[in-house]
Amino acid sequence: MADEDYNDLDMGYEDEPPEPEIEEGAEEDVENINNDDLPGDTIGAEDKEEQAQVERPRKTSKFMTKYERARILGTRALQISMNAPVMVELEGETDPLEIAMKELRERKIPFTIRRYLPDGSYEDWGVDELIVEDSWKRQVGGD
Amino acid sequence: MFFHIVLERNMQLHPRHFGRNLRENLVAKLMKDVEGTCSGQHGFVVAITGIENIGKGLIRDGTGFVTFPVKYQCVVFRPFKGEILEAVVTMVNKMGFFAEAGPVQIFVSNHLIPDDMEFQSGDMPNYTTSDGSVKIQKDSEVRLKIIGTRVDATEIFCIGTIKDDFLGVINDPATA
Amino acid sequence: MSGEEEENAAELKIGDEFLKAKCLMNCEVALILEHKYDQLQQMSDDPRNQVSQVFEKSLQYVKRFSRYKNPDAVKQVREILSRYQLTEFELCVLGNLCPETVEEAIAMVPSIKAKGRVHDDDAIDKMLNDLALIKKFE
Repeated sequence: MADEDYNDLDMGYEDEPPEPEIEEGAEEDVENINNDDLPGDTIGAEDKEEQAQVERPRKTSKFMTKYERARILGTRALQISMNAPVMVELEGETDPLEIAMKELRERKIPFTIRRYLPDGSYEDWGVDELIVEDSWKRQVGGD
Repeated sequence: MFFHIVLERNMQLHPRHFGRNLRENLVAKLMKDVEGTCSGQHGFVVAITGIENIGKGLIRDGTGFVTFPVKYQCVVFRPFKGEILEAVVTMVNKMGFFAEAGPVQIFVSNHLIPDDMEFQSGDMPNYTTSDGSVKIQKDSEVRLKIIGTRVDATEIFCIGTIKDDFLGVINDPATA
Repeated sequence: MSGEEEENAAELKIGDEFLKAKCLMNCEVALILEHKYDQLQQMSDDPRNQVSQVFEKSLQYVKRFSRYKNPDAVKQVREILSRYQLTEFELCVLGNLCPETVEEAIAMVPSIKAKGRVHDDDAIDKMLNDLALIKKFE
């Protein structure tokens, strides 16, 4: 995996937290495209800067880093524990973290990751666009 | 004076409101939080007329809440110093009278009421001219000029005058 | 005390944000608020529980002090007043108060005679006559 400094976790503080930001996208909608709250690069309510980002081809890795994965699972598990609607069919799981992992496996987590680059610009990647390496599954404690 | 402006607000949403009705929940919460409030800069927010834009939600670290920046259009009422408007008298006493123009209350002190009008106490306290032709009492309509505004935490309060030309009780033949 | 010390509507010093904003006359606000009230009524049984006191008071106020009840008349008023070079604020003050004489109009909106604006008394008189006509044929 190319681990360049594209995904700088401690880039220095700006208004927003320096880590790659996770954005809440639209929930469960068949026509995802038309929803305003959509993650990442599909058309939605975007700022002008967003438009500029979308036109420029993204250069960061298409793999999800282990840090991103950890953060996404953690945040999603937190939301699930706070009663957020779940995106997948539950087969008897009760632990929020397990439910989050199931959602991640099925690519149903509606988040966008905002990866900040060292120059302050960012790239938005939808969680469903990134490839999650299977080898990490074993580290989390298995299914 | 009523204005139609675009305001922006960051709304925090609890995870239990996510899902299909995210947008409706957000709009409902916005209406509940904002309608009826008052700020020094924009005045009273009377009604939200539409949502212009809901930005992307930012997930807050550690709490799970998500913050959405919402741009909405609304009707606001903002009284200005020097503005002339019409109001309904709500209370009369010897210090002057109180009038209401929409959500804002305006006080007109007796110093700013023309000298030929005198206070008459009684069942229906009022101000009357010496010849009895013009009367200001509860529920009369008056035209006044705002000469000062004060902003409290949740309210704007004004003082006015009817001592200038063309101010005072409105004798509208159409409604008389 | 409230914000700007030099705030003065008579000289149109009301802050950039409001100078550029769309101003509404009482009759227009009445239409908007009534429409909203009807919408609320359709969605639930008792809209009065849902609207704030500010809304109620404003609705009562604008209904009582609207000079023009007919939506078409309201549109006409705005159209006529926009032909003269007035700011939104001045337009609405005139539409709300409906002065009958030129003198009254200048007293209500002193800024139309301030520092070299192009309104002479005749133009103002014509404007007031047009307004009165609409009211008569409402």
